Amino acid sequence: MNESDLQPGKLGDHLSAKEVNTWLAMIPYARLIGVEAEDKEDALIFTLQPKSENVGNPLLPALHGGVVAAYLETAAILNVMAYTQGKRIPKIIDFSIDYLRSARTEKTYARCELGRLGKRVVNVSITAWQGDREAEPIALARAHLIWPEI
Amino acid sequence: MSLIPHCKQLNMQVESVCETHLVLSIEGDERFLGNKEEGLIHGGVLSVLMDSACGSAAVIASPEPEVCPTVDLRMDHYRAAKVGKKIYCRAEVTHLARQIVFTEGLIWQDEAKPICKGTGTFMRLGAERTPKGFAEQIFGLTQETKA
Repeated sequence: MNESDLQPGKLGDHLSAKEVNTWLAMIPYARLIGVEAEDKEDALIFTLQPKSENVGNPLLPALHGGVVAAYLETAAILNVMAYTQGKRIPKIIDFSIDYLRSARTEKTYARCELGRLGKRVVNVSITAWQGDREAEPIALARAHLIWPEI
Repeated sequence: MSLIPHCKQLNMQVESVCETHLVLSIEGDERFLGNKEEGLIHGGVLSVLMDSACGSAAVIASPEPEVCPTVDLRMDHYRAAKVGKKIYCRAEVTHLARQIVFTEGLIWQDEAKPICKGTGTFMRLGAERTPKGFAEQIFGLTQETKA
């Protein structure tokens, strides 16, 4: 794979949410916090079920910032796996998250974009929102992962 | 930690607290696996630990306890944490500004082999925007730590 193969749309096909969700058995913590994949039109999106155990600030209440980070890291991992036939769980290199709004205890959605793809490293941008307010994200995250050999 | 639902679920413990830094820990539980086959802990669990440790350091550094929501968090994963071994996170405040607290943290299982370095930035909401009872909760936490 070289730089010219790095454009979106040249990644090849991704597997469906149904297949992605079978991998959750290998990722117990993703199940503990309640991450799942869903098909939305042609895209894969990732959801976080509302759970009282995911709360970090009971006074608001708001989801624990760390849980939102864990959820978006999982979304990036599953999204990469969806493009690599789920052969292996990619290793994380680094992860960075900006919190834009406090996240309520309600269903949360996330979409990933595989921005730049080197031979061994993939850059994933992740946007998270609640309700139908995709234009008003609660958090933006970015992750670098090792691209699994297929 | 027992007052924060997710920290309670993870059974997060306070190992030590002083004016400049604190150490939190979690067990290397199977519930926290991110790769069951290889026995590796999910990087996200480490984010929870880092955010909790850096956030607690930020709260403690403020003259009066005030709510400090996370502005951003950055994690550099040097190596994976393994299941079955306790995980520690030491966090400290690097700079306390009027409205912002800058923090850093380090995660390890083996002290000689750092697992993850984290940087967290927190907003100081100030006493007037801090809900009533927050100081008592923090005070409760301190009591629990001393016990």
